[in-house]
Amino acid sequence: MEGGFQPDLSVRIGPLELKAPVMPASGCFNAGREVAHAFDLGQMGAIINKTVMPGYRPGNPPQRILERASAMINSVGLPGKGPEDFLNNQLPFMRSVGTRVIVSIGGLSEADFAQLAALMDEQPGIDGLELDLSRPNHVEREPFALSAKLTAGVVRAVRRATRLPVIAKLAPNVSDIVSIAAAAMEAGADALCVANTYPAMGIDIEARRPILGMATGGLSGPAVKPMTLRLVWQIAGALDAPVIACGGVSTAEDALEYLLAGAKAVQVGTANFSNPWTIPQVIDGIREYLRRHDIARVESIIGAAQPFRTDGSGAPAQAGGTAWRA
Amino acid sequence: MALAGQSAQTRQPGKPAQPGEARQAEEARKPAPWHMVTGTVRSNRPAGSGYYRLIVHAKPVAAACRPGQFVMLRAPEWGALVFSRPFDVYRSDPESGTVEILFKLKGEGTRRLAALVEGEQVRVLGPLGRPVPLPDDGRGVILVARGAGVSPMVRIAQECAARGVAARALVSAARPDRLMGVDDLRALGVDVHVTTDDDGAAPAPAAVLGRWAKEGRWHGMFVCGSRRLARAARWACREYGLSGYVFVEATMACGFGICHGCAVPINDGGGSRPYALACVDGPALPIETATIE
Repeated sequence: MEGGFQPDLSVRIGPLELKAPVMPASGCFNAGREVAHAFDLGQMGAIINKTVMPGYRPGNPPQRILERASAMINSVGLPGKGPEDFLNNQLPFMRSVGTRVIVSIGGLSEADFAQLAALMDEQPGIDGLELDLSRPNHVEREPFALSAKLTAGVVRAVRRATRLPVIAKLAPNVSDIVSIAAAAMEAGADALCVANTYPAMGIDIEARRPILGMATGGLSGPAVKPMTLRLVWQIAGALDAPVIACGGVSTAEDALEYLLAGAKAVQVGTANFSNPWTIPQVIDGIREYLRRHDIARVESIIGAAQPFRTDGSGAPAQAGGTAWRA
Repeated sequence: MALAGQSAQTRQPGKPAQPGEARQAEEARKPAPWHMVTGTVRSNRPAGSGYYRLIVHAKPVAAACRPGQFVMLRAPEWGALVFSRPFDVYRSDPESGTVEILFKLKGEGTRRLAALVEGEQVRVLGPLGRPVPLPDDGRGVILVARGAGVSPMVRIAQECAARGVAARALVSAARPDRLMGVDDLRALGVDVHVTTDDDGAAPAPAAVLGRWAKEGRWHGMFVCGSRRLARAARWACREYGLSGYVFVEATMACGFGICHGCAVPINDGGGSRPYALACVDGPALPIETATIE
C-alpha cells in the first residue's frame, strides 16, 4: 500500500475496454464542453452525450425540475437540435476528449433508432451506442423498456443497422427487470445500462396543481440508489450480461456498492449538477479503496457481493445461472 | 398598467436598436470560466424584513465576477437538499476577494445559509451567467428593482461608478421599511428614487420610467424583481428606443447549462426556440426576448 501503487481501473464491458469504471450519465453532462475547463475529461471511462433524437426538439415547458429529499424530479423533455448539429458540433468535441465515445440515441420508433444507428455507424471515432429505451418523459409514447418485446424490437433493429457495440438503457419501473434485460441481450445488445429515472411527481399545495409543467417526471439522485442497486444485483445475479449501473451515484462508496453488486461500471448523473467534480472524485475514491485493500485490479471486486462469487475473483456468472432474485 | 400595455401594442417604437449594436452587446456578454471554491464567511447579518447580507471570501470568483452574473451557494451542512442555491451577486470586490449576497429567507436552503457565522465555510460556484453590457457612448443606465431584485443593480452600479457611467434607479417595495439597497446605491453615486405600494400619491412606474427615458441621456434599463416593473420598463424602452434587460429566475440545479432545468419561455418571433436557459442565456435577457406577461 505504497503511495506509488497504481491499481488497474480498466474494465471490459462486452467488446469495450474502458480505462476507468466511471462515466457521465446521458443527459447530465451535455457533450462535456461545459465542464472541460474543470477537470481532465480524458480520465473518464467514456463520454456520453445528451441523447440525440431524430430532429429538433424544444424540450418540455417549465417548470422542468423540482427538488425533493435527496432527489430531483425532472421533466426536461430532451431538448436538442437533432443529428446534424450533433455530428457537426458535439461529436468532434467528444472525440477530442481522449476516451471512449458512446453516443446515446433515442427515438419514437424502431425505424428512428435504426436510422440514427446507421448514421452513427458511418462516423469515425464512435466506440459504442447507448439506446435510450427508458426515458420517462415521453409525451409521445410509453418507454420501450417497459416491455421485453418492444425492447427486443428496437435492439434488433439497431443490431441490423450497425456493428458498433450496443448498450440498452433499461427502465427501473418494471415488474421483472431480468426478463427485459434478457430480451435485450438475446436481441443482440452487448451490454445493459441499469437504469433510468423513476416516474414521479410533486404537487404545489398552495396552487393545488402539479409543480412540473408536464405534471410528472423522473426521479433521480441519492434517493434512488438503493432501488437501482437491487436491480443491478438482480440482473448481475441472473444473467451473464455486462451491466453499467446508473442511479444516484455521488460518491466512490456509491460506485463501489454497484461494482460489488456486479456492475462493470457506473454512470454519474444528478451529482454532476451539484458538484461538477463528482466524476474525478469517484474515480480517485475507487483507486483509494483498492489501495487500502491492496487490490491490484478493479475487475477483481466486480460482483464480489454476489453469493456465488464470494471469492471476489470477478469470475463471470455461471452460464444460464439460475435467477437469484432479491 | 393597462395604459402602458395598450400603448405598446398601438405605437411604433421610437428608435429601434441597431442590429450591429445588438450583436456587439451580445458579444460583450461572453462569460469567463467559472470556479468552484470553498469560501469563508466574512459576515452574515440580518438586513430586515427577512433579508440577510452574506459576505464570503472566494477570491477567484470575486476576481472574475462581472455585473449581471450570479453564484451558486451551498452550506457545508446541506441535509437532504440536492441543488445548490443561485443568487445574483450584490457586490464583488477583487481587492478583498469577497462577494456579497443579499437573500431572503424562503426555505431550507436559505435557512441553512442564514445560519452560517463568520469563519464558517460555504461552497461557491461562479461566476455564472452572462454579464450585462454597459454603454460606452456617454449615456447612462436606468436601474429598476424590487426586493432582493436590487442585488444585480448594486453590482451594476459598482461597475458604472468604476467606468464613469451615470446611473439612476427606481427602487420599489411594498412599504418603506422593505426598501433594499437604497443606501448602497446612493453611496455608489446612483440617483435613487423610491416608490412604495402604500404611497397612494406615487405616479405609476411606467409614467416615471417613460419620463426618464424621454430625457435622451439614458442608453438602457435593467430590471429585476418584478414583472409589473419589467412591463413598465419594456413599454418605456420601446417608446423611446432604449435597450433593456430583465433578470429572470427559475428553479436551477447546475447553474452552468448541463441540466436544462431552468428553461424560461421566450419570445422568439415565431421561431423554433421557445425557451432560454436562465443560467447560461441569462440571468439577464433582452427585454424584448423575456416573457414578462
